[in-house]
Amino acid sequence: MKQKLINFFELTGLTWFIPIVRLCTGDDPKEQIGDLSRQIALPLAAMVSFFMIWSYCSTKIKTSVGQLPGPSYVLSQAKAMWATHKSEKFNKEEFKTNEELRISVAELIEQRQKTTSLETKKSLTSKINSIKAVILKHLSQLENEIKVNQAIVDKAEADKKAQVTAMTTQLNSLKKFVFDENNKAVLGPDGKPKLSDESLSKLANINNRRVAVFEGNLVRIYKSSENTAKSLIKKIEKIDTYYQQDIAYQAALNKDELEKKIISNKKKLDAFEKQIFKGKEYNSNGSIVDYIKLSITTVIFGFCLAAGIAIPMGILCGLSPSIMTALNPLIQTFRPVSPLAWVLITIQIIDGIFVGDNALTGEILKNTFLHAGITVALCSMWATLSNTALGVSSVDPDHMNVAKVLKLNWFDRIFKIVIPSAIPYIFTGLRITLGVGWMVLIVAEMMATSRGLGWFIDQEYQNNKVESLANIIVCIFIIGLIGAVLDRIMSVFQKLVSFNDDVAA
Amino acid sequence: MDYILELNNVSRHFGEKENRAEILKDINLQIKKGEFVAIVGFSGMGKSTLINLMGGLLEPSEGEVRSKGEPVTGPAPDRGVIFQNYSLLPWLSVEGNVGLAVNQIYKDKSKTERQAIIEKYVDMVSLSPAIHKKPKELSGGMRQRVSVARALSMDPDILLMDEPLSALDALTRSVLQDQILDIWKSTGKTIVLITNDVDEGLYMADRIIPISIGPNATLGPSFEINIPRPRDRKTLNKNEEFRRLRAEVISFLNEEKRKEKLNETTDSNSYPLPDIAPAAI
Ligand SMILES: Nc1ncnc2c1ncn2[C@@H]1O[C@H](COP(=O)(O)OP(=O)(O)O)[C@@H](O)[C@H]1O
Ligand SMILES: [Mg+2]
Repeated sequence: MKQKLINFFELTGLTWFIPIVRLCTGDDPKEQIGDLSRQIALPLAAMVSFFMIWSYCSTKIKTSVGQLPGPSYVLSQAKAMWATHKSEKFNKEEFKTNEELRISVAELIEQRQKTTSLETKKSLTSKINSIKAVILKHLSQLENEIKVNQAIVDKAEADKKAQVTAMTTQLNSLKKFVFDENNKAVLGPDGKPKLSDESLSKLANINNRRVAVFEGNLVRIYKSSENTAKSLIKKIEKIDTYYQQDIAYQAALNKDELEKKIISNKKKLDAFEKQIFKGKEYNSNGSIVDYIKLSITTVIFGFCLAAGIAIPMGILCGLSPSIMTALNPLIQTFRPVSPLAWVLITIQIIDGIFVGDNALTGEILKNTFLHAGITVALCSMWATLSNTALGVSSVDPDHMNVAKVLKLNWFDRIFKIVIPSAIPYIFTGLRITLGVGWMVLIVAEMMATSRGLGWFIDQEYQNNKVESLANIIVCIFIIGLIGAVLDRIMSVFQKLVSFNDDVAA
Repeated sequence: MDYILELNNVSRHFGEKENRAEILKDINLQIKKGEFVAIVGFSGMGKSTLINLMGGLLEPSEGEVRSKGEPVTGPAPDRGVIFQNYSLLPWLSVEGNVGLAVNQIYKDKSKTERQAIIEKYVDMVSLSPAIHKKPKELSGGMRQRVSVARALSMDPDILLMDEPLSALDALTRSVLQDQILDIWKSTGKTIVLITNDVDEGLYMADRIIPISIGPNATLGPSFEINIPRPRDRKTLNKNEEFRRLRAEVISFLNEEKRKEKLNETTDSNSYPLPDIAPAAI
């Protein structure tokens, strides 16, 4: 068990867990703690100094949009992004609930319209009423949520106000030390004003801090959902009134007198029914989690495409020196081409194929998705191609001798000897391909406007605010972390398929 | 014409023009069915080249190789080769490595029958407990046994072994020597054993042939080993016949070495070396 855990951590490269495992299973604590402090303390120290330097620099560096965001600001921005994501999720859920309710009502009403039997009409009406009850219940839940979250927002607002007031009084009490009676700044011993712009802007920053973002968003979302539900109820009620009248008119004896009324009633009923049959499209710009999901999907798509092209081509090049000689100049020419060039040509070609009504508009598979994915594949496939070719062409002659003695046919030679022995090379290539692909992806998404992390960074950049700058920094960390995780995963595969001989006699 | 393998005036060189290297010259060898022949020589003299010629992996530059009277045109499963460095496929288990041969040779047998054949040969080299292990999990001796099992599973008429035991420690080596002898006795196969150890050749073979120093290496005289079997490793040292043969083979090889030294000194016109031959190879 212990050895298994240690092997696992060694395989995944998470070596700093090993001393912890050893410590827990009672190996010499002194040695393990020494190991641990080396493996954890050193990186930790480096990390801390990095954040300190960053923090210090952020007070000194002015960007075109304002002060460079420091670690704490970026962290709060990351939290805000997360909050936006969660409220986005609630928004979607609320939308779905309302839509589902509307659709079921609409279906029942349509059935009621079509049927001629009065009995069926009656039972459908009672069903409609039961859905109305469900909507009402949902409404009361929403009201409750709004109350709870509004209270949190109010309290946060009040806290903020109190904080600002406290700061202002503090500032005022300080004023007499830093301003003279003519309201001029008092200079310190170093010749600089005692209260500088910097310290003032720091105080003012309090006002910019987001307060109860998440709860504020929720209140907004629930209120809009409440409106939708209420209007739905109103429509149902209106339809019901006209419907009841319609029934009454039809049962009436003096139909001729009522004829005009019947016609206008019918028109109104139709109009409301039409309204209730009309659905809505959910649209939103998505949230950070959606961008991450799309980016990962895109890079995996591009990676698979690259592997699908590069591995067979690499095998062909490795098997036949003539093919290699023929293709080599092309490979060497295309390999160094920047993603910026590839993406433009990809956009033109894909948009030429999927044009007009044929344009792809699925939730994930859009034209823009293909632009980014194909660009990733075009830029990243070369490492796999050349590594596969190398692996295939450098197959151990002894292994080929085995194949000869056994008289394996061509097919078996390729699939039983050549490809298996090239697999470690292929995986080395694939690891590089995934790394390059992830790096290229961000640029490709920016250019292709595929709504992943790259697109989001570009949007934030266009915003031109300090806040957006902080968002970009958050994205940089996310991109880095995901890239590292992808590389770890590939390195595990690489280790699993390698068969280097290190055991001797 | 009842030789199972025959080499007639076989020569082999590598490269052309200024890179031309003459390795083997005028090799003549006749091997009878069921015979155990050892070929002994210094390394780099073309022993592996010779085995590859016999196996059909290399073509002779001149002369011909005949197997059961027919000219050899390429490798065939009836001449099993055991390669110097085991040549196991590292991505396959013991079972997979032996299975590669079995599946190829017994194509028309059912899956279960083939599995039984694989297990039989793995058992023959006593590797059943390690049948699912990969080569990198095995010791050198175990790897060599897999290689033997693979060659045997092809059920060849002749086994060509290229220094099968050279890389092993002395203890493992003697165990494997006995195992190979057992297999030879029970299957009645013809064996050609390449070795760099005169004692090993004398202990195992019916006939030992030293190979001269290259370039243009050729086979020396063939020494019949008339020591009754089973031979006893412990008392072999005291056997008169053994001591005589050992002295003769070693003196042939040393004589060769001395000639080579003389050639070197006369060729390069450098300072003369004292005429001292090493006591043993
Ligand atoms: N394919 C080849 N091409 C060129 N030279 C070779 C080739 N194979 C072997 N040789 C040369 O032939 C000589 C004999 O090699 P080898 O048969 O492996 O010797 P041994 O097995 O006796 O140690 C060596 O000098 C080696 O460099
Ligand atoms: Mg050799």
